[in-house]
Amino acid sequence: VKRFESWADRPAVSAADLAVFRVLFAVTMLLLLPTARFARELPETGFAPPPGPFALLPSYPPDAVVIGFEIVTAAALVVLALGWRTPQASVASGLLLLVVTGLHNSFGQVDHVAMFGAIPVILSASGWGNARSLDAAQGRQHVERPWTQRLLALTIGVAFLVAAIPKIESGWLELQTQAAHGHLLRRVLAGDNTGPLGDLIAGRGPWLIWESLDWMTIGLEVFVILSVVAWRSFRLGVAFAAIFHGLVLVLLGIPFPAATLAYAAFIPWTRLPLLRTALPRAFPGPVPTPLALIAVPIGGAGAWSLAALAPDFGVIVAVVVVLAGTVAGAIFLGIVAGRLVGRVRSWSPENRARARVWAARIVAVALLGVLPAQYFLFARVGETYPALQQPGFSQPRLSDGELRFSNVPVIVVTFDDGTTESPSGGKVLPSPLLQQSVIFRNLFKDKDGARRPEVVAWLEGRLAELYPGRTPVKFRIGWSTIYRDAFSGDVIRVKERYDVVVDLGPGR
Amino acid sequence: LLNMRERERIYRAAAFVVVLASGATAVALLPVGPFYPAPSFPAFTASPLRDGVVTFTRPVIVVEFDDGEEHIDYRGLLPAGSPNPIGVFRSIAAEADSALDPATAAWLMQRLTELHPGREALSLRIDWTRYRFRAEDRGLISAETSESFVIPLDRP
Repeated sequence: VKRFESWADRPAVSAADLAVFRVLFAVTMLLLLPTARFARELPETGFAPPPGPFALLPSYPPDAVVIGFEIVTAAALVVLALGWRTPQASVASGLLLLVVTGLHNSFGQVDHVAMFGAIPVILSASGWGNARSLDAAQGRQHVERPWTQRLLALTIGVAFLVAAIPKIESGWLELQTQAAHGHLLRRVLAGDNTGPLGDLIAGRGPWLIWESLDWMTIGLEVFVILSVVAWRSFRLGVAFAAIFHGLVLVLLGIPFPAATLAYAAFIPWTRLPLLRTALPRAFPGPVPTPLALIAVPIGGAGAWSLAALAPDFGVIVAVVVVLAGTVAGAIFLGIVAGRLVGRVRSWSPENRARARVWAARIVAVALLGVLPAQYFLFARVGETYPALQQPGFSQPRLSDGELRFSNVPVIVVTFDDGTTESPSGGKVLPSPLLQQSVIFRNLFKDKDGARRPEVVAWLEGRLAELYPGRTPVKFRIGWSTIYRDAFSGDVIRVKERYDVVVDLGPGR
Repeated sequence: LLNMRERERIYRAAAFVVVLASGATAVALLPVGPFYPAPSFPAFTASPLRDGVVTFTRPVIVVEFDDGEEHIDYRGLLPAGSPNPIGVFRSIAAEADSALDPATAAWLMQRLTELHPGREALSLRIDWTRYRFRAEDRGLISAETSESFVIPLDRP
């Protein structure tokens, strides 16, 4: 517990940095204020909220309620920017953002923008109102809780993981699918919006590059959750992610500012060389209270009017946020790469031991990289041995109350007198054998294998043992999928996929 | 009674548990749909491209006006600022129940009157069409109607 607490309490940035981020976040959110305006012009029949609290709504709320929520959200964001009663303003603006985006998401589509609301709710307890705020000017100091930064990092990691799991489940890693390319091509072919490079490169390039993009996407999403363990790795993770969002923008034409904004919480704003001197001028001090009182309604109404009258303005702001994040990510990675190069150059015979340690680390990481490469091999040639893999149990067997048994051999042995027998595959094989079904399948899965002379000779010998005194002339396997009721076990239906027939006896 | 420090420790632990639990809930509910609000980024599931073929379904809309038939773009029917137009249009017209609901007909009537003033729309047909394209040259392989709804728009 102590190790967890000490890990959680290690901050990435100072409360003063978070104060700058608070103002940046609130002002940006005012400029790209989420609204549910479009939904007011849709029929009630389209109201289809996603699973969650909004599914409890019997119908879409009246216009006045929706507009009321939107305006109050904007006003709360102004209060947050000013830093008045910051913890309360943070929670209020976060919850209101979740309500408005929830209504926005109640017509058959879900923009994954819960992060907009999560940021202020999580950082409400961070002490981000202790500087550049009315709270600071009026002597209200709040407890600083550095663990909120780690919590926000974990939330970002979980969000990526929740996005990665359905990708993996739906076949992104299969070599037959190039999912990223597919989504791009679909947008192009269906006439949807794409980015400036989308139409240019859709349908081009070798499949391996597109397949690699799928793997890199999932690799990045998994890496971010793992990187939460240390600030150094997390910063690397979100820098790559910020560039990834830029790539999604220029290819698919989808600006996704919710994530980029969250990454900005981890920038040490007050230590940035350019801002160190500019910031005091940009934020000269707390706004006088009478001015703040006027700013809240005017700023709130102004932001709402902008969003209502010019819905495309928010899209422009989103694009700017994502591009700024991409540039920041690239600069950060450039700095990291520069430092790495510097370290390599500074290696001398004196620190060879250190170099050896690093070389061992690089080899270890490269070996770890071999593990996912197994997947390519499995997809091409089947499971190899030896391989580092736990049992997969890959196929779902139970669905909608039906148990599915695939690759079941339905055997019919025909004798020379016209009679038939239907032994099970297990009965045909000498028992006890491990994995009888796999062995039987390997022997009889196709006619070429099943009709090999040595297999036929062995089969005739086994049938002579099983049915002494009778002469089998035909051995037919109907490879079938059998569906049984999960509760009673009764066979619901049998679907034969193909059959393999082996002629036996003197006439073959 | 817990002192302040102990309370802080409980809050901290609870906050981490809430984030992890909400992520787990979002994953558990994935078969039902994307849970909202939840810590999750867009998933872009189900690759439309498999074995070199891109497959997707879109609505083809044919309106019968008093002066003849006309194809219109479903996106044009939606209000400005609609996010993810196909997702929104599906929620209205992918299922017979909602597509053939009088409220949908009234909305379509209103939208067509706004978009085509002076013309009278008599009916609207939605053909949900499954397209298959070759990825390499973007050539159309097939376009098959999987479901079709005819919505009468007669004025009362």
